[in-house]
This record gives sequence, structure tokens and C-alpha cells, in this order.
Amino acid sequence: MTMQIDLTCYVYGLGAWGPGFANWGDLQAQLLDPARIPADLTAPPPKAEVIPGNERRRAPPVVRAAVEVSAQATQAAGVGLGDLACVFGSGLGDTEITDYMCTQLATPEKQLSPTRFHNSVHNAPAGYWTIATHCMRSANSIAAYNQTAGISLMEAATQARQEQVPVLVTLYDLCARGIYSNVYTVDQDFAAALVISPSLLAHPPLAKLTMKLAPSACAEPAWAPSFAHLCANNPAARVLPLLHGLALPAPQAEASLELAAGIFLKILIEK
Amino acid sequence: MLAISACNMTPLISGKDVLHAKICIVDYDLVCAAGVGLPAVRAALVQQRTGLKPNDFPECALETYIGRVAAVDEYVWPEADLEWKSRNNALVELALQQGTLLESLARIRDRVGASRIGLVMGSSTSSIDRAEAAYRVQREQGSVPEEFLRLKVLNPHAPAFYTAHRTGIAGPCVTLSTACSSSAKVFATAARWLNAGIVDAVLVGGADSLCLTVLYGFHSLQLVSSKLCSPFDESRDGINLGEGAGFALLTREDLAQGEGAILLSGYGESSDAHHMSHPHPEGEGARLAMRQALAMAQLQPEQIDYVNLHGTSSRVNDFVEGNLMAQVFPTGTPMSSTKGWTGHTLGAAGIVEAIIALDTFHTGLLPGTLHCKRVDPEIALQLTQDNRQGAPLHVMSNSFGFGGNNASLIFSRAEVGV
Repeated sequence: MTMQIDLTCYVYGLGAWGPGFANWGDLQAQLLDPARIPADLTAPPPKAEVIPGNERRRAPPVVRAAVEVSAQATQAAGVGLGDLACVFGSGLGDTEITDYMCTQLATPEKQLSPTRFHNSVHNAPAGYWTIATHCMRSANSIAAYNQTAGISLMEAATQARQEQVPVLVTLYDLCARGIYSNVYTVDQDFAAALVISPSLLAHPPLAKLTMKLAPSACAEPAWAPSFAHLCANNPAARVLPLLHGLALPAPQAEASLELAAGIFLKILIEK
Repeated sequence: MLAISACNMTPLISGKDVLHAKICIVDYDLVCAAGVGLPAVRAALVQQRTGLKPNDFPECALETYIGRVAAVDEYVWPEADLEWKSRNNALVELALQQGTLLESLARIRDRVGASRIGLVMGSSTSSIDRAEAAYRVQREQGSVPEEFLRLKVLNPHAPAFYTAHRTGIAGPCVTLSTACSSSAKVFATAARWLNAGIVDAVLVGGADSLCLTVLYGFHSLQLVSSKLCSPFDESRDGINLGEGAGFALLTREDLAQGEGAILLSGYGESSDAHHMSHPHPEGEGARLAMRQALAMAQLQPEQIDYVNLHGTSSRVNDFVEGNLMAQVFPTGTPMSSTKGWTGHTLGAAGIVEAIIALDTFHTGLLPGTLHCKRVDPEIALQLTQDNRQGAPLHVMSNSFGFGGNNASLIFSRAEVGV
């Protein structure tokens, strides 16, 4: 059964950071042409310059990665930062801080750093982002493991449509630390962001997205094996089929993101 | 009085009637230190009996009071479900067993099918208690036994994984984790999913259990009181941590079939854009969330018959919130913090307090602010610890979390709802 749902929106900005790419331009080129993928796949450190210097030094790596791609996407979008609602999604959250806290709490002294404790909340990236951009809109913070990408996009699109606001949706997952590395296969860092708007703005969008619920997924994109690996092992990177569709030069493409077992958000991408 | 009104809206409020569909609450229940299940919680509220006790949490030497749910310690995991073991999941299990929640869910499932029911959970710590145990064992034994390495437990999405496993819900599932507003925001997300037609019903819920992370974490921020917490009292000096879990079953009106005596009539969500762990000094983010909720519900502040405050008993938070509420609402609007009964249940505070607020439609009991003997003279709010009796039509519940994350909810009796 395929169900029409009213989640049409327009993409106005994209940001990306991950193994071998520092921005959307790099990622787009590599998605389309495997020859552009560098031999060295280590991710360059995220700049996250939108956060003031002393705050940035305190910001954990997941925050810097999420804020970096958010800044890229919003710069490209030409939307006032204070006008954007935001949805941040991560399958693992910050396992580096969890590892730190649980290690400390296993010692007799159980001393925690107050800054690292308040940074440990899943909504730390949303908090740092809204503080840095003076944004007072709704900020959501989502965990849905391997459905995080699909659920986050759906959350952003429902909010954009129903509350008539542009929405930033940012996905991030970094390599698992501590005992979490025995549980998760995430072995590469990845973050990406999209700015979506429920209606057309003064300037042309990058693409129009029309969504429906479908019982099956689209075929996996024809891309390099390194992207198949990233997509399979990093919950945030499960947004890559959508990014691949957005990277394609064709006027129309289709991509799907999983919402639940046997329920997919099927997205028609029109440029 | 700086009243909120629909004609005084900033561009941050759409003012659009976004709740196209009437969202009905067809069942709800909860567990917290004040009681296991609604009847026990109601009795504790009536009798003004706190669930807070001197700290006896294992491995925790802090001098404080905690809101511990003793029944969680007694829960015995069935063999088949041992892989799900965590304190947080045990709390979820206890909450699911209360009242008629599972029967109501089964009735809705028979009507619409499991894949047309969504699940929106809120939690700030998920099952981190299990990770703490794993690290303790690792320190003692040098390695972590397999029984601790469960992907669906050591996961921020753990409460939803377990709830879906227990209930058979097969539609989209999500865990919202925005610190202390987590399980208030579940109502907003559920309403959007129902409005968009993504699902026909949503089980919303929240769960946060006591753990060393929050006890020592809030202690590191010097926010934990060594005394019983006393929200808004002049002598208050910090919070008591608690644990809790609760659920509410939401459907659109067309599916409620007369069960939906209570409506979600408005919600507001905002950010402080100020600081990770301090509130905005004038409470601007909180004000914005309330304005959005009132605009959506098409209500004026004077039409709200009871407000469940966030009221953590921290010096700064209560000061900001109390003075903001005194500006926004007329003198005499009944409002209270119920954390003197439950402690601060963090990611579960949203659902626990939403249920306490909307259950006033059933009981008429408007709780006082337990342990508040004399309101801080710096706070321009009239509060008492005494309960009142009333016949509320519209109630509000507010939750404010770290990261400056705010949520405001309004519930209405169906016969008067928008």
C-alpha cells in the first residue's frame, strides 16, 4: 500500500562532512564520479566557526561536526538563521562523552566535569547551534538508530508543512568509542545537513521533494563501494541515497529512506 | 500585566490553526516515586505524601533525597526478555502494565493495524544505567561480558526499541532526547504525525531512571539539594532527582469513538538561544513556547485553569520561571510544581507532569506545591502547598531543559476544546 502524505518541500541548502569530503561540493563530485574519491579517507577536522572561539573549544567533536554541516547548509540556503526551526538526528549520540562519564563513574571518586556533563545531553548540538545563531525556534533532537535519517527528515518536513517554517535537518554520527565500539560497526565519521522550506522563496531551490509512504525501498544507487559501506554502517549516513539523488544532474530522481520495517519514505526529487 | 494575546504575536508564532485534526487522548498511565499507577499517584497527591526519601541509591554516596520507584528494584526479567535488561526498561515495563494501557492499545491496533500506530518516546538517559554497570564490571574484571553488549539497550533509542518490542507497534518509532523537555515534545511530534496522516494513532511516552550519571552530573553542577526539594520556597537550594515513566495513547477524533474525553489543544516549542545549562534570564524562550501553545489552542491566559510548572527547586530556574508566570498569567491562576512528590524525573518529567495536569479533568484535584512553605519574596507568584479543588476545562504543562529547550502543552476537556 502506498500512501500519499502532504510533505512536499523545497531544498535550499546542503552541507556535508565525512571521510574524504569537507563540504557538499566534494561529496557531490565523489557520489557522481568514484575517481574523485581521495585515497586518504580521513575526515578533515570540522571547523564549526559559527561557534565563538571559547565555546568552540568546549564543544565536543559531535557538536563541531553537526554545527559545521549546519553552517554550510544555511550559508548556501540564504535563509535567516533565526527563522529556522531545527531537527538534529543521531543514531549513537555522543559515545565519547558517555565513555568518559561511565569510566569516571566506575572509579571510587566518581568525579564528573560539569561542562562535560551538560555537553552529554543528546540535544547538545541543537543547543550549541541555537545559541550560536540566536535562534529561538523549536529545536528537536532525535534518536532512531538506523531509521534516524528517515525519521528526522519526516519530522522536519511535517514541521515545515504544518507550522510553515523553514527547517534545518542535521544528521551526524561519529565513530563509536569505548565499549560502544564493541556494539556498533560505525567506523567512519559522517555529518550532513539540509535546509528545507515548505514554500518557494525568492531565489530558486536546489530541488523539490515530494514524499509518500511505500512498502519497499528504491534500488541502491550506483555508487562507489566506499559509499555503500558508509551508508550501511553509519546511521546518519543512511541519508546518502537522498543526497545521491540530489547530486545527480538528471531533472528527476527517486530515493527512499527507511522509517520502520517495511515502511519507507519514498522521495521524488525534481530539479 | 504583560499578557499574552493573539494580537500581540511575533513572527516566531505562525498563529496558524495547525491542529487540523482533533487529537484525542484515549488512555494514559504512569509510574513515579509518588506511586505506581494512576490510583496510587492520585492518593499520594490527595494525601500530600511525598515519594522522596533519603538517598539510598546503590554506589551513590551523595547526601540528598531521591524519588526512587522501589517496584523497579523488585522487577524480575522473564528469561525470554533478559537481553532487554536495564533499570530504564524495567521502568518502561512497569508503566506499560498499569491500568488499561495495553488493552486500549490492542483495541486501536485491531481497528487500524500495528503498522498504522506510531511510537514517540522521550528520554534523556535512555538505558545509560546499563552502560554504567558494564564499565564497573570492566574495571573489576578487565573485560565486558557479552550480556552487557546489547545494541538495542546501549542505545539512545532504547526506550522505543523496548516499547515497540513489548507492544508490537510496527509503525515509525522515535526517541526524542532534548533533556528535561523530551517527553513533553512527544505530544507535538505525535500531533504532527497524526495531522500528516503518517499514522492513525500514536503511543507517546517517556522514561528516565535514576543513575549515577545524573546524580553525580547534577552534583557536579552544584544543583543537587541535600534537603527535600521545595520548589519556589525562599529556602530552596537545589533539586532532588527522581525517576518515572508514563504513556498516553493519542488518536485523531474520528478513531477515538467517544473515548477521547481529553484533547491536546495546543503545543509550543522554542529555544532560549542563551546557555547550555542556565535559563534565559527573562525566560524569553519559555514565554515564546507558552505563547505558541496558547495561540494554537486559541485561548487567552485567563482561560487556563491550572498550570503544572517546571519548578525544579533550583535557585535560578524557579526565580526566572516564577516571575515569568506572574507576568503572563492573572493573579489567582492555579499553578504548582509537583516535583515535591516525584523529584525531577528529567526526560520523563514532560509525560509525568502532562499526565498529572490532564488527570485534573478526572479528579478535579489541583495539586499544591508540596514543601513550599513561604514563597521566595523575590518571586512574584502566589503559590501554596495546599491542594485545591476545581473543575478545570483547560490546563497547561511546561517543561524546560538543558540546551535551552522549552515545551508548553495545553490540554482541554473535549466538550469545550477547540
